[in-house]
Amino acid sequence: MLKSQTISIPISRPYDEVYEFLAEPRNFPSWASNLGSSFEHLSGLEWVTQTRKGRVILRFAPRNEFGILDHAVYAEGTTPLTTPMRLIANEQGAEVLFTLLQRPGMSDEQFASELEWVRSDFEALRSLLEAGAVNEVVFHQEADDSSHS
Amino acid sequence: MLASEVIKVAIERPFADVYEFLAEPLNFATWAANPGSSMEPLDGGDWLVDLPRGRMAIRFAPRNNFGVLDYQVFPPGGESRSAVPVRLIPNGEGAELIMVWFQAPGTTDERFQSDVQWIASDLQRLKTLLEGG
Repeated sequence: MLKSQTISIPISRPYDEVYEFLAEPRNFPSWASNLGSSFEHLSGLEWVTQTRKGRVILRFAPRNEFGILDHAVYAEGTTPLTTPMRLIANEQGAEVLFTLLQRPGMSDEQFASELEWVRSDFEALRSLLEAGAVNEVVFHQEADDSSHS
Repeated sequence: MLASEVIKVAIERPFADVYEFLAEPLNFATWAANPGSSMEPLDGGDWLVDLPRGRMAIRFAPRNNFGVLDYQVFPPGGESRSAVPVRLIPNGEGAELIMVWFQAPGTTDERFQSDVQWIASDLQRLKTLLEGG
């Protein structure tokens, strides 16, 4: 089995709001520097982006009631590696749970460095959402918001 | 927001096997309840089980494709409580169970840490049970 690390990031915003934001792939570049800044829609749940490691395809989990926000990242022709991610409710706020797996070929130093990237990305996400900047960035429309409130 | 702790255990068994085991409510008593306890079905899909804090009702998440195994514990006949988040994820040839335990209002830090230790030992029991089989 691979070594893994699960981190939890508390965000002082309502679960529904955070889920709506994270379930929209177009919002990722606003905080996930790890995943590049040029999201283009391929088809269905698949998107393509340019990262530090080159052009990669991202496949997002379908919307679901469990807060699952997994995404598989892979270069064309390679095996998709799924990153487990979940949003859970914590009273009036929410927590993101993210598990980083130390893939075969990844050194301990690379793993530690990757973890630091992830942590700083989530800090950016937390700042963005807690500052209330979501309304300017969010693409998913308020059409279904009434059902959540 | 409540303080929380992530508690996990790596299990050297295939994801599908571990998920099947955990998704079956009858198995809950073999690792997470008082020794000798059994699961007694209630109306509406809930169960009665003997836990260290007494005889409680428990409600499990419906089967799903995400490995989500959340459960709610509440007094029999009482209101359901917010769910304990539990998820199984694949890891290589094995699986990892990831739980989040919240520090409920009124719970001291000492009590919270002791609960976390208790749960960690339950997860170890689960690991031993499954890896031994």
